[in-house]
Amino acid sequence: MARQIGFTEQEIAALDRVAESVAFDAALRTALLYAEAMTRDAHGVDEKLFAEMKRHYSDSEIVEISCVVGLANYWNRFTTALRVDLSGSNEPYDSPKTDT
Amino acid sequence: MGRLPRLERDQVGPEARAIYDTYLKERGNVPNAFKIFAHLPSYLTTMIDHYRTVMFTGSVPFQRKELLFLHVSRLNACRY
Repeated sequence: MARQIGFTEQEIAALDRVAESVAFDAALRTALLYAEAMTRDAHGVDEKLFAEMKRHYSDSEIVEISCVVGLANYWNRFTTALRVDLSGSNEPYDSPKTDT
Repeated sequence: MGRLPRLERDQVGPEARAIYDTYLKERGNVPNAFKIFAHLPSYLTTMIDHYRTVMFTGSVPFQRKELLFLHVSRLNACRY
């Protein structure tokens, strides 16, 4: 998906180490870290991180980003809990190779 | 096979069927998650509206939103 929307292999790989990666500009890195905190434990969105968000984004952009992250979490948990099979392929959600 | 039956085109009403047809034309298949949301047609229609509103309106570029969506999905180890 990321390749389809124009991100490089380097940027996709950098998602595993956002905090120390130079693949993203400061604003995007902050949003990615905010997404991590909001996803892992929303209580973990501390004042320092939120101040960084305020530095890079307007209030309405923070609402936008929070909605994207919230929506992604909604879809992820919905499709995972219900084991929704992958679209456009005949591969079932819990195919043998994923259960190892 | 997922935990709930997916509602195919002949099992849904006109509202959901119109959405199925749009996606069949645009991408050649109907996302399986839609076939689950379709158990409650109003959830399907409003979910799609909300998804499009969140992802395609506002001032944060779509490409960045997609990357955020992808990042969260990787964090959640979501296979879908």
